[in-house]
Amino acid sequence: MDLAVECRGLTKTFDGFAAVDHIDLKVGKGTVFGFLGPNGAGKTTTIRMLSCLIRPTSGSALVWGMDIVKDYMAIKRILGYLPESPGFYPEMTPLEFLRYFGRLFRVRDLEGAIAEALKEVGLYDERNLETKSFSLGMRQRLNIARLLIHDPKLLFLDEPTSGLDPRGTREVRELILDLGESGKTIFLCTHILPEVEMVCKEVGIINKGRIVAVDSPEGLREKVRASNVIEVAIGPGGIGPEDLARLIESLPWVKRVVVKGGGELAVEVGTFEERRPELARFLVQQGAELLCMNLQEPTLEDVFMSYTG
Amino acid sequence: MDLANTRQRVAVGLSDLSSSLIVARKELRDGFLSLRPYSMATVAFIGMSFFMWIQTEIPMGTDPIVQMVVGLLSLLALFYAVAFSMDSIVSEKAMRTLPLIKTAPISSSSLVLGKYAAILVTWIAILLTSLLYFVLGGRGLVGDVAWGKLLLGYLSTILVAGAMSSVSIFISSVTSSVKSSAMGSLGVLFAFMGISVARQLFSSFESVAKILNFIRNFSLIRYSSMVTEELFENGNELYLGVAGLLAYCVIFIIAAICVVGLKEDVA
Repeated sequence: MDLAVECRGLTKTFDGFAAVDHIDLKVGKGTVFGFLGPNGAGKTTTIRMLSCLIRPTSGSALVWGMDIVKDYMAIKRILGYLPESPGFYPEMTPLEFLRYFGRLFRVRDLEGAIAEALKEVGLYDERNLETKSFSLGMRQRLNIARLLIHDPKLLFLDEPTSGLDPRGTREVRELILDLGESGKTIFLCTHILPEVEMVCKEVGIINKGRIVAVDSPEGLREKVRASNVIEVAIGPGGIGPEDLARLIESLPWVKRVVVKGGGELAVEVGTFEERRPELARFLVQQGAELLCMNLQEPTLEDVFMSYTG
Repeated sequence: MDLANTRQRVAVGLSDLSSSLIVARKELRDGFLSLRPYSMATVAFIGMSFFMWIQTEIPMGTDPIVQMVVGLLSLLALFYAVAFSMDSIVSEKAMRTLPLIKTAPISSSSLVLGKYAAILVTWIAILLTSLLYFVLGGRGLVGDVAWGKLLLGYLSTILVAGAMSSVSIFISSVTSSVKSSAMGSLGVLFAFMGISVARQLFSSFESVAKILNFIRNFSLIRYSSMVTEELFENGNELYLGVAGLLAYCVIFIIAAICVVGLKEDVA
């Protein structure tokens, strides 16, 4: 696999505190990678090291095959970094702002690239207004336009929807989806789980500075599904839920039964094996009026909670 | 292979250096869109008008007038340098634009040098407006203008502005708010000025005077006076003054570049 990012024992300490602690991580080119973790887990520090903003205390990392310490200038040419609260020059218009950064990136056909980027983020009509009058969402979109003008291969997005209203959040997510579909590698740092489920092909979870899991969202769900939970709904015509729960608990492969009320039970099975047909037969034999039976799918939130406590 | 590598490094270095022109251009645009250069030019204009008025009331001859003008401009240069440099780096932190610049392909040296160049170019523009007095007024106002000394005097004020700017840019790079940077820069300037005053006040206390004399050896104001005064008196401390001011420029600009490059306050 061609790697966009490869970390080997990457560590960053601040006054003896390891914000990022010996992380090993590989992200393939063209992947939309979700980097999940609770607040203070080390996401932003990792992304800042990979964006060549801060230097690692120890370990190494390659971005597009280049070392983040030795080849930082070459890396900067191919990456786009969107911080959590991106700045702007209040007296500048979007055109002036993008011209400044476009010149720093030596963009050819700068005016064309700016027009295209502004249209992409929906700010073309506001191109001559001073940015101090912009809403948070507009500033965020302007900064996404800043990322687009030099056509970077790799994007580091740190909480891109933080502080945005639902409409702004939706617009930014759609932009990220479009960018992912256009083949760019995206390293998305967030703690908003629906965002990850919506846009990411691969997810890494970081907790207390350490990587605790890396897989596809589906793969992570499978790992968390250490015990199947079967949701059962029974009607009032047969045996009652409490009595039924006691009977189910006597089965050797059942780990736990929870009576949820309203004739619903959650039966936790201690293995990955499919036990629904067996359980259905058992319930009917006991005289239960079986209405419905579902295998409870763990959400990414369950995965996140399971790994980060 | 080595030659190819060297060529590539030189090309990258030149390309990076040209980034400082992009930064300077942006800073000049921001600077001239604000009121600061115009207010400085107005102060220079009023000050020079005052000296010209003195000249018409009490004829002094060309040299004293030029010397007074250069003295006024060098004092103005110190305040100009503080006013224009104190927010140069810290404002990027305050606006949270520093991480955006630091992830662009530009080195910290190009960023700092670009800002520094813009400050000096703005000062030169202000100087040029004040030069109009001599160009347009010429013989009618001050008699035969000693152009050589006048231009050297003007150059010396650029050196003074450069030295004080480098100190202010350095303070701006280590502080985290515009307010603390302004207080720091003005504090340093007044401390420099205060040394000379304190030296005179405590001249009767030998031990205090010794300490103040020692500190004064490193004062930017002293080097500035050496240059602007000795220029007209052909004193032998002129070169020491120039060397002192240049040392200030180089040391503090390098320090600011190091701080911008290494300090990790990019939040």
